[in-house]
Amino acid sequence: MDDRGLIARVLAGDPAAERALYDAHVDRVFRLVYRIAGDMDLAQDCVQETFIRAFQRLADFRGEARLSTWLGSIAISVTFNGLRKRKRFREREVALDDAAPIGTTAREADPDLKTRLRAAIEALPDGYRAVFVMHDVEGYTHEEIAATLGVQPGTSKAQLFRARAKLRTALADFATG
Amino acid sequence: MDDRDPTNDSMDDALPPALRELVRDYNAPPTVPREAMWERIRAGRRDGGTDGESFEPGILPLAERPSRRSASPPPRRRPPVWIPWSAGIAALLALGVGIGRVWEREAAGGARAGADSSRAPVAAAVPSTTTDSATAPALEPPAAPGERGGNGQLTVAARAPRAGREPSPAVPPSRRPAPEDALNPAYRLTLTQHLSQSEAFLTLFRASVRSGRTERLAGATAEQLLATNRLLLDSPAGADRRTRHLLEDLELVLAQIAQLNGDTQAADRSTEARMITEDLDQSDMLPRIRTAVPAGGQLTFSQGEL
Repeated sequence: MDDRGLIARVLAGDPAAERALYDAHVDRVFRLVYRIAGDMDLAQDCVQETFIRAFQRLADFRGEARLSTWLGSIAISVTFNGLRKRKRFREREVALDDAAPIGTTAREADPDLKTRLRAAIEALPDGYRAVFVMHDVEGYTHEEIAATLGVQPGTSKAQLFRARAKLRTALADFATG
Repeated sequence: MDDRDPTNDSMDDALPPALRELVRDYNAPPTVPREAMWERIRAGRRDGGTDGESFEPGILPLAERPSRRSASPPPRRRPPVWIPWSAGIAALLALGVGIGRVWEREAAGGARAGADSSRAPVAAAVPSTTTDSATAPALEPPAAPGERGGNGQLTVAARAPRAGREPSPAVPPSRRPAPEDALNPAYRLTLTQHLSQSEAFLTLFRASVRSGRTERLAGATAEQLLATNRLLLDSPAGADRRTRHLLEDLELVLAQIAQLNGDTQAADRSTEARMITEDLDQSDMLPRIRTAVPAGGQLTFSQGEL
């Protein structure tokens, strides 16, 4: 059954249809969320939140975009909100604990490229990071990214260009050949 | 499920192969805990769903915006005062670029005759007010690197040949950055005016976005600035490396704003405008423009330079 039929059944109150809709989309949503969140607990929370919101607002879904795109857009927003909350919480914890400042480790003490790459990606602003993860990590096309984020494909390409430039700059001192 | 589409990717600015491999492993997802999440979703729905907290400013999903169909229309607001662009100003800028081309050719003593002679004459290269469509700057975004055709794709590196002009060689002379002291006065005048106007426009645009307004005029003005920007980039008079980099970054931003006048709905335009503003801030565009524009925007000419 296609998404339109599933939606109609969900709105009619069919619990089996709800589960079927969830099963059809949860893998893709989880992959995207986890790629951005990088943490199992946070990813699960965000995926759950995404589907709860989606079921709440399913009646408002106009069908102009694909259901997977619509779910992706909710997931992206929920995930970045979750990351911001977590960052603020951790910053308060650090201040209370009077721990060492984050990100001041000298390069010589942390030469691992993978670690630096992770830090560089996580330092990207939300827009750049979303586009970069969706395109270069998960393989979304610019049209899919544009539909998910509600922007033009050209903006998606521009954001990706900037994101890659920032990463190259951040990792310039590594011999990446 | 692998949705990769390598044919849709520009390889011109791609990350090095070693990085690309690492990127694919970034936050590699584990097995999806379907059942556990489903139980919590069901519990969450039984408990009344989310606590209804609003999204923070940032990327908003399409579905999360309130429907505008039933909402009362917003009060009419006085649109922001955009700097008006007249055909005369555009012609003056284009004339300055044209003068620069003539000067460059004469100063080189025909050294670049092989390349320049293949170009259209100055009169044809300078867009006239009668709108020579063959040589006028394309208002549609050029094709993206590695891609062909005009589907509204944004060029971020290579540039497709414009209609009416001969294809550029692999390394066109116009793209070789001129020595810093060799910028001719006419080109510098045009560049200064363009950067000043771009700075004012982008400052107004950013202020409008932050106050929640994204006027359709922004796209049209951006198109005009984009046309001038591309003329400056294409001019054989050239620019120093830093200025060229600034113009290329400026082109990127202006092209994004120019696309805001597409078929997007107001809500989508707002999200995109916010992302563009974020890009503006991240690239330090405005400080870089202010640094490039001389104080007061005035140029002095030595006797005999023009």
